[in-house]
Amino acid sequence: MKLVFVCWGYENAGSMLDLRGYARAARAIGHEVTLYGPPNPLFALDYSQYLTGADAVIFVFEWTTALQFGDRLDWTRLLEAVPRQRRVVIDCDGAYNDPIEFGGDYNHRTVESSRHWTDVCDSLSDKIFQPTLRPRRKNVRPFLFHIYDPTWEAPLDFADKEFGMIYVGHTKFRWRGMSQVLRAIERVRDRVGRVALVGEGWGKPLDWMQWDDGKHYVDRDYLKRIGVEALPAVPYQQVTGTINKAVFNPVVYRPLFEQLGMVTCRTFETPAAGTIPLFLLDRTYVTEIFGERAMELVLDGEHAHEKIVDVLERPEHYAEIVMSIREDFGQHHSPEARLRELVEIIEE
Amino acid sequence: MNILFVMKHRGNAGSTHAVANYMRIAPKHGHSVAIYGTPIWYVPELQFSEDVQDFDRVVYLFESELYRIKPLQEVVMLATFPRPRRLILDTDGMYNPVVIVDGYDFNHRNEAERARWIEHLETLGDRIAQTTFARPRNPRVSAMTFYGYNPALQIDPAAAPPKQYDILHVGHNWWRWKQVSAELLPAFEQIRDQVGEIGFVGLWWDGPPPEGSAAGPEEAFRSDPDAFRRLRIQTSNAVMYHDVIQTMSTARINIFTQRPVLRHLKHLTLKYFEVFCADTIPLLMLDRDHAEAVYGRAARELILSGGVAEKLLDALHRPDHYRSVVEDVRRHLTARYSYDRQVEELVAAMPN
Repeated sequence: MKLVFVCWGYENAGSMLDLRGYARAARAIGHEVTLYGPPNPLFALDYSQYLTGADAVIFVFEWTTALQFGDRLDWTRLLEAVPRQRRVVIDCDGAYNDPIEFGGDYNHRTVESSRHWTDVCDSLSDKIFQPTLRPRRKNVRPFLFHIYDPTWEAPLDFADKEFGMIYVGHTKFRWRGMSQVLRAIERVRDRVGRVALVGEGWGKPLDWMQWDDGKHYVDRDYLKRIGVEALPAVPYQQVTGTINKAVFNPVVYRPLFEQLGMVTCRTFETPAAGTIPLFLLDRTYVTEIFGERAMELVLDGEHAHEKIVDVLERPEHYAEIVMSIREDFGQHHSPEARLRELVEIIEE
Repeated sequence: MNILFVMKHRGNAGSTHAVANYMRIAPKHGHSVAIYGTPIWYVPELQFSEDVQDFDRVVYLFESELYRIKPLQEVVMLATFPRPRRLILDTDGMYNPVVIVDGYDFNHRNEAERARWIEHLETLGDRIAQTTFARPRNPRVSAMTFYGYNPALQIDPAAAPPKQYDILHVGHNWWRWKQVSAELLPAFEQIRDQVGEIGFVGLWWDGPPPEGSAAGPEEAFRSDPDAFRRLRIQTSNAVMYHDVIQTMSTARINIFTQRPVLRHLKHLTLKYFEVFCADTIPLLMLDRDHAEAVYGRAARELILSGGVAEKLLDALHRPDHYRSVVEDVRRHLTARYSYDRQVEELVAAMPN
């Protein structure tokens, strides 16, 4: 089956690594995956505007979707490439919902914006999925989309870590979660080693961020005061390698994603890296996604700083938990498993 | 049938005015017409809608630009109107081979530009109509008059505005200069002291658009403000579509020109009809056959071709005679190009 994904990607954001996993898995099990759009060597993915022979079109909708870099005829071609029942929408950012606001984050500012997005998705397909176990709308089904690729796995060896903590992700709506992690670190700052935040906007705001209504708020004075390094974004191919440089990585979601119980790229990338993930997430969610043992990796409450010290002092203990997560993810969230599930959806 | 137009709408251009007429007449025939978009305060009579589900057919109207709505709006549009429910209306002869008239005006700059247009239109739909009275060579294309004559818009001489001009030209300076400079200005020179005010109403008669080459080829906007000054020709800015006929009525004579490539392709424009609604004597810079094909035999007397100066003076000196000719043409237009007929033609052309 030839599956064409539509995902207006960015070199340092979104689901590009996932799509590479799908492409590799497809080759292994006798399918073909291409991405729709003009070729771009930076993406290292098979982008093409050639739709002949397509059996299915999968629209991976993220915040980038409206930033079309194809040509004027993209949508016309895509809609005519395959019949409606062979189109699938994966709504990665929870935009296919009524307006939701949580923790300062939101999916839509207005009812009209929500309705427009709903119309767009409904126009494309009846098969609408979100990467959450509990979609809110009745016509939406769960499909976790993001993958765990065992080829990403790095040894859990903590002997020569350059950093105590690294976080790889942009600043968008992250300050709420990140500030909790940093307050815990502050209490034990001299025992944590180098701490770095890697992504757009941690060091200094990009020009456009000043117009974005506080979405990318960061207290940079505070970062300086407690000795946190702000490093620029890395291309998606270097994400796991960067995560790997620290003993632990916090797993912090946008508040909206937390509220919707979404999974993201980082849900699966972090346990694959040679680091201990510490979750700033709802406990029920952690159990459901990462398993019972992962409760030990939850970073919350008064004693978060103690957890951090314990992880730094006994990383091997926590590494065992990570190994059990990897085993489970390797079975249930591998690219092959996801692709098979997707093919079943397409063939329904 | 509920028909939605996707088009670049401008208050000072012909297609918008034509669609406004469709909006007005369509309900009488059990149909409705709107333009895709949100209402514009200064043209409250135009109906706009973004509720595409309320419509059964879509008309993509293209002038000289590959106009498109926002990509995600397009998704909803394309899904709502499958190919068989789309009609493409080509008002500027873009769905044609490259046509260059007298090394001057053209529909496409080159083959690459043409190919882009052809791909766009053919990807968008199967049915293409051109606003021409010539028989299209491409079997995929049908001819459609589209623009119509609305007798209700005729200006009663008793209610007409005072005549400020003896001679007026209403239209933008878009590929007009060659004809204006070669035929009209020398005639004005000959008779300038025998006529009153002369005016040109529209964009770019005083100079090209400030955005430069982004607005189009430099040649298309050529003008000679010094010559206009010397000949005491007044220029004024474009008027909104609902003021066009009233403005034309401020002159005893209106000169009708058409950009060469559209004349060559025998495309109609709204101005063909507006100028006969005005309280004025239209003089037509068209070939005899061309004028007759549209306006009937009576229009022969209104042709301004060779002996331009003499014709202008004759029209000024014998207005009653010319008015009776205009009345003959109006009767012809009412019989052949009423918007009642145009609405029926449009509905019949819509894919079923």
